[in-house]
Amino acid sequence: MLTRRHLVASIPFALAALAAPSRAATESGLKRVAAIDWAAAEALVALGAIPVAVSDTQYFRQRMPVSLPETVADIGPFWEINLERLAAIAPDAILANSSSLVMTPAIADVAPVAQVPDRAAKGQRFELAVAIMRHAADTAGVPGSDVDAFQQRIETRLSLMRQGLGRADRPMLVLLPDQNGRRAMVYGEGSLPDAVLRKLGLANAWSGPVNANGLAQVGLDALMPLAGATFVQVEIPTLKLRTARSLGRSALWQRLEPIRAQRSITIPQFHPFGGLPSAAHFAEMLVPALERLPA
Amino acid sequence: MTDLSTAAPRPVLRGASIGVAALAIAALGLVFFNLSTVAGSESWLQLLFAPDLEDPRQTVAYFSTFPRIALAIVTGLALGFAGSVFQAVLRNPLAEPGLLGVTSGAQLALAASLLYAPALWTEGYELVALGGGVFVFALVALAASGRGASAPAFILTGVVVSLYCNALYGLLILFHHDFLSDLLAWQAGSLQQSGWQSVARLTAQAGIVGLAMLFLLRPLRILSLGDGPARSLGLSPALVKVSLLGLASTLAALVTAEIGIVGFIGLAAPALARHAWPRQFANPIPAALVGAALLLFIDQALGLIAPYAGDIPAGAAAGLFTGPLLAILAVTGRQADRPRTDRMPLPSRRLARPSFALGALATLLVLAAGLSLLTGFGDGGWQIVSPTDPDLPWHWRLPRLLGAAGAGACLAIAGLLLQRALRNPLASPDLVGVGHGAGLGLIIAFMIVPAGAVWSKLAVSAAGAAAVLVLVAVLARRASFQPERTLLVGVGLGSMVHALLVLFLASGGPNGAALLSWFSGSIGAVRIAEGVMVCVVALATVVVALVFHRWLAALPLGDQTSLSIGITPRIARTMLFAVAAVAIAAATMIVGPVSFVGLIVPHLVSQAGFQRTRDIVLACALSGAIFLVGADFIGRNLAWPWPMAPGLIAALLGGPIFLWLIWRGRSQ
Repeated sequence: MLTRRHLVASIPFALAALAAPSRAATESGLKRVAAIDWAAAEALVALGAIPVAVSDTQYFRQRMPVSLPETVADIGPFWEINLERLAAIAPDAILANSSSLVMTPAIADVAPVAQVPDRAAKGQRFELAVAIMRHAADTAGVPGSDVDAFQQRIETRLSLMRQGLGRADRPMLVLLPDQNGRRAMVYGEGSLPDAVLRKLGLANAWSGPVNANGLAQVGLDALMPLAGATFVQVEIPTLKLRTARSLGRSALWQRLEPIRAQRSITIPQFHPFGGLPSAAHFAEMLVPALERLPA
Repeated sequence: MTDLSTAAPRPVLRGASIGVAALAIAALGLVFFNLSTVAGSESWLQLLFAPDLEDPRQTVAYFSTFPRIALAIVTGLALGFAGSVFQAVLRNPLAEPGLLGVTSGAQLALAASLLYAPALWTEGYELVALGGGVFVFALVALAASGRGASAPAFILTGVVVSLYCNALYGLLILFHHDFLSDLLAWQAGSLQQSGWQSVARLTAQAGIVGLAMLFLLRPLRILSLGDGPARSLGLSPALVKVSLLGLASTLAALVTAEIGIVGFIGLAAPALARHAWPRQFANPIPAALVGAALLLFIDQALGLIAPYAGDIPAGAAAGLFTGPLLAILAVTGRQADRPRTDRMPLPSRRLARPSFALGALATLLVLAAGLSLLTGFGDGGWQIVSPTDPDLPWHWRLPRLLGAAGAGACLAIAGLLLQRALRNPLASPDLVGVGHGAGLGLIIAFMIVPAGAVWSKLAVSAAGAAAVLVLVAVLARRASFQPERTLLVGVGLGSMVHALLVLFLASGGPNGAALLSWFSGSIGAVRIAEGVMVCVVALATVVVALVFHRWLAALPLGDQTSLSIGITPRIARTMLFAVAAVAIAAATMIVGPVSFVGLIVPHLVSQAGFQRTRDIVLACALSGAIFLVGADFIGRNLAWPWPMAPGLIAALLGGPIFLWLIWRGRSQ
């Protein structure tokens, strides 16, 4: 388990290497942007164009793969933006998705709202991540060449990993077991992990029905036919102990072929609704863990 | 359908029995079908007693399909039994353990211990759930005990505590929304199994409690004759009631610990059993059997569609199935006439100078409004702004203020109208289903409108509210606006919407928190036009209530009394119901379904000693407005820059006040 701790520790460095140096809004002609949508916020931070305000900064800092400076203001959760504070900050533009506009339409009174793309064409989830970054960069006044360069770095990194994996014929199942050891959330087509698996030349073992976000909540019995798959378990730090205990006692879980064959790895939490930085984060956690798995 | 209600009781009885038998047969049919799908041609006895665990299909059958069937039966038995005991003891067809806050208490204890004392979980979370459920029950029993454990005091206290627990739970979730999907998925009540431990555990625990309850069945039958005969036979009604309710609560808490919240079986099973066997009112066994058949049917039907729709939690889906069932029962069935003992708790005191008190309330409202407009927490701490500043007080705060005041008044008056018209102290805006209708509109929009599209929350919720309002009105009209039936219609529809909400939340995705915040009653998005609109509706409602104050005074006295002074109860009820529904719809669009204000304010006002109906109407409107304006002010500043939903704040503040009033009332 020491290895996993190493892995976690190495992630910020990996992403820091990808990120551009941060620039102050005033000196480089960048706009002051309030980013309510987290995918847009992480894209801006990764490009070095730090937003003036982000929704729910405290949780953002815990959860997202980029580091947010302490100067960024918290404007409340995305479903109920603190309008008074947003108005006091007076940003030049607001990056939000449709649900924030539905819940608090009055944000449009403060500054023009640029709606973050959130619809991926079939099989185009990775392209959506790129589109989110491009759109955020446009809104903030970051040159498009920066986005191209960032995307290039990520693609190069991913194809390097893909070559490193070599014999990657085994299907992967990315799943989040529930704390009762009875059900699991699986990531299917249209989800960010699925897009990253494709980029890495890996197959997704889950081909069953999924919801609009590419997720499916299934009973463990639905995983029984997936013999030959490799399980990638997502671990939520606060639930880790309890989930492990429940799975240890779950008779059906113990009978699953990948578990009996010990073809299962555990990776830390990632943000499944993010953009390019989140995709890179997921890949940086997945690949080293896979490489340590005995063939 | 209507001829059923006028026909002789015999055919009705047979019809309902056939329905129950059909349900049981359908459930068994689904069991056989699902088993043969999973296991193919293997003999089931061999699967059950000597499964070949190297075969994946047999493994699934042995570790998942069979335990799931057993769990559905045990859970259904326990919930049907507990619900029936609650209804028999409290003599209210809306009573079930969930109503007294037992399940909410268990749920809150589980969530809180998960967040703040994870060590408790390793000691067995059943104990945590049981502790929470039993603690809540003890609290309710203690607060209500001074009134001889009378049913209305019990139920009202229970509902208040339940709302309080739900508000705390909502706060926990919204402030730890990283846990959100996990907590919600787990509370949604999936019967999915992966081994035999939980069936074995629940069967043993529920079996012991159930056996203990069987010994109390005879006293329960005697109690069904009323407290008087029981007392003359040497039974202490309070003791029997409290121990029965306590044991039934334990059953519900055990189920909650094992599989989360299983909605509405406890409500629907006794209702169905009562229709099939009207004479067995005090016998909970039929209800337990119906509960088992109902839950088994629902869960197996969900198992059937799982390959296409994923695992849908049966606990939440039960609301989808049983909602319409309750509505149909309310419209078609013959309600057995029982002596009703649940009247409103009597006001304990009388105000000497009500007009002085009304003046004080009005002053308080003005003060609260001024405070809310001109002060607030900001970047540099507390700030007082000048009224000449055009932006902060008038552009950003006035819409919220108007929205809160108007919605609070609307909800409080609507609660008063409904409680008077439907003669039930529990009739509150959320029981009419209109708020749920508005929520339904939102859920459907979140589900089907493609990502990226922006739609008007207001228009969508108005459409939902209107649709459900029409439906409820049509159904309630078929039920002749009889109080109990009308409430059943509302509860049935409400349970459907709640089930949809839980299903949506449990399916994962980033919009869950937004929807949850709307359902807990948030006000941040109000624009000035909407604020003005709800204030106008509030004023109109007050005027109507004042004009028809005689109806409000006469209806609670019974239909005969009303007729004798020239009021046709049916017309009066229809009118009041319509007015209340419009007020609820307007308020819900602004603040979401805030159940607390409508339920509590009318009781607070009469507990405070207002007695003339006209005074009560005005006091309700003013108090409702003060309540939400204050809650909005607190919610805006307490966790700044984070908002706290005024609906939650209202529940957190109002709950203790109300319990204190009940408690104080007992000594007089």
